[in-house]
Amino acid sequence: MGEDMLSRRKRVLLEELLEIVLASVNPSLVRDEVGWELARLIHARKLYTERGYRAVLKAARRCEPEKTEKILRRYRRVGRR
Amino acid sequence: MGVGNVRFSVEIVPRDPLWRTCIYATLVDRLGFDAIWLSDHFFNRNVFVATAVIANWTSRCLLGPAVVNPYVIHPAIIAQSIATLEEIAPKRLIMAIGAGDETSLARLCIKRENPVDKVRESIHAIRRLLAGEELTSHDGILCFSSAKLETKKSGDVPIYVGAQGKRMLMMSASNADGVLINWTNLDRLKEAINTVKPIASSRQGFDIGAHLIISIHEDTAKARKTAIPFAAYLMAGTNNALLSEIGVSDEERNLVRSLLIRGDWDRLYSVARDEWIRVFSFYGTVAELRDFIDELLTQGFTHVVFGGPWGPRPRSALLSIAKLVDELKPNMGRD
Repeated sequence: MGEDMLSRRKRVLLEELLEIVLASVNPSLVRDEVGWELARLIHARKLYTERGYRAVLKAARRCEPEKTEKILRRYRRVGRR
Repeated sequence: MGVGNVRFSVEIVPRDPLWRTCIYATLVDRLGFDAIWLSDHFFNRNVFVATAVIANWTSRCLLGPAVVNPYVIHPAIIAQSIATLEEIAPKRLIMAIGAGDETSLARLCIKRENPVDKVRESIHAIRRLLAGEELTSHDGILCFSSAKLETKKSGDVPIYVGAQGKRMLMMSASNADGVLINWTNLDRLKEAINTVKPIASSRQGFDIGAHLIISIHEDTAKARKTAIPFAAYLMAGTNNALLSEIGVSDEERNLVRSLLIRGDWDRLYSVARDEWIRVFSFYGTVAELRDFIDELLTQGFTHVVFGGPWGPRPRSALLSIAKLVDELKPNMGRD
């Protein structure tokens, strides 16, 4: 399951969350294990998988919780239409 | 990504947790840039340790600790660190040395005395130590007594100088393998390259780099805001003579310096003036950046370093910069 490729829509969401993680002024709030897992998945070209999505989401929620929830709400809203 | 005789590289500031530095290094390596420069400040992650780590996360980029400071780290230890890194990433090491900024040195109670001589002597000492020579010298600023590295010889690691002032630029042109000129303003860069070129013209392969602070975004106000702390940091560390040329008083510099140290960003944004932001950084759209780079290449720069923050969306900004460099290629011809 962890290796499943993501839908196009979820890839866009993942990229938005990754941008948040890489731009955040609070990267030290991300647990090192989570940060390294994310780095390893990117390095192994496995970012666009369920595992990659979970790692980005976890990191984004730690360093920028409000921005992350805002993006997730927008994603869910568009998904319901 | 080197085109013609030009190199394009990226500076990463290791102030983040190392996992994030590794993500950026992976990205830069894959985007095809020629080199990654890692900046050196005592308050960030250690530059040599960070370089060792990213060596294993990259496969093709040259790696350059920059700009390491001989006031903070003894040149023998700089040479030892470079020799050790050369074992981790053979043939991928470059380095830059410089006298550093007064703001950082003041925080360690270090006086920036005889900067040009200090850097010049350090270049030669590092080069000779890397080549496996034993040094004994008591008549300069640096002192050695039978100092020798027991590491592999790595005397061909190119040594650049990070420079701004005229004397440092001239010294670089006659002693180093390249120079990273620390301005992000076309007039200043033109003046600097005109100082370097006549001296360096007889030295084949001398690399003239523009070390830029870049912030790009389609919304220029957002790009500007992101550039301010970086420009402020450089401005606060610049010597008084250069600051008076651009109309910055001692009082203004001291205010900016104290705001930086306190991390009072809101106040910093309110006092920042374009007169100095635009001397120490570029902010604007990708199209404007392209015009800026075109002008640098016309002036004869052989190396462009894209230093952070890159933009309010740094990953997107790096992708845009890589695309821009790709577009420049057909216009420049390859070797």
